[in-house]
Amino acid sequence: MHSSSFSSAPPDHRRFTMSSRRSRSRHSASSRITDEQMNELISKLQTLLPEARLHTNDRPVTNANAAKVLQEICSYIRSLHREVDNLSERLSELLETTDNNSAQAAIIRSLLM
Amino acid sequence: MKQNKNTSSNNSPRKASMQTYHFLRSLTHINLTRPSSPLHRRSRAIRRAAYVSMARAASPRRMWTRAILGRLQLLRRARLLRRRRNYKKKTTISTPHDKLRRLVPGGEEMDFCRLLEETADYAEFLSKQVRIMRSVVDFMEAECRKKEEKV
Repeated sequence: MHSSSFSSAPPDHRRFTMSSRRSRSRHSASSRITDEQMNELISKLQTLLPEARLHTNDRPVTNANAAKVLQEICSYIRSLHREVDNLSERLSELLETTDNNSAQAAIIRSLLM
Repeated sequence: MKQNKNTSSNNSPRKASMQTYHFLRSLTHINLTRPSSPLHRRSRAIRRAAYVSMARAASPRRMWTRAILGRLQLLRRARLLRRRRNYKKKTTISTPHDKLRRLVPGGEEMDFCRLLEETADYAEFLSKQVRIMRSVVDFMEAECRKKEEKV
């Protein structure tokens, strides 16, 4: 399941039959080695969150709140997915109700903006 | 192509515009087939166009772009089918790691560090896509209102 070129564990050629237990140990092996790097990445992800822009450097990412940051990132991405769904619905409704000329004008305006 | 519409974004203007361009081109195509297709199918086509234009604007080296553009998708479906057949026990507790894996396209096949990088990239393009779609909706509604005022 995991790409072998990035992990420190021996490469597993039978990717499809890899057990979940082995995948979890491989995951913990890689996180033990690159702990600092991971905290750096999680901090970087934290800056992407919308509420992170309000209190930028308040909380440094430690192992304690890493899980919390991951949760926030998950809910952020989920909310973005939901927005894309809602906006797609709205766009399809709008395409239905607007005539061709208005739709084209709107599209051209968005392109030029 | 055109100017960067987001002052807060740190990307080159070209990348943001390419995403806009791809999306609007797909939207125009969907608009042309308007009378024949029902509403829900159109909204699903628009949604697919959103993700594809994200993937086209982003780097092709990314796992998530490859997953969206279909090369990993077939593999993943086959793998999921095989997993369901082999494993009787169901993992009820999913850690935040697992949740993130499932949210990011192609997330099942990478190790955690790579996943974090891909997540950052993916979230960036996703939020840009939301901004693009919002502005298209705003422009369309403005045009509708203008039309109503004239009548």
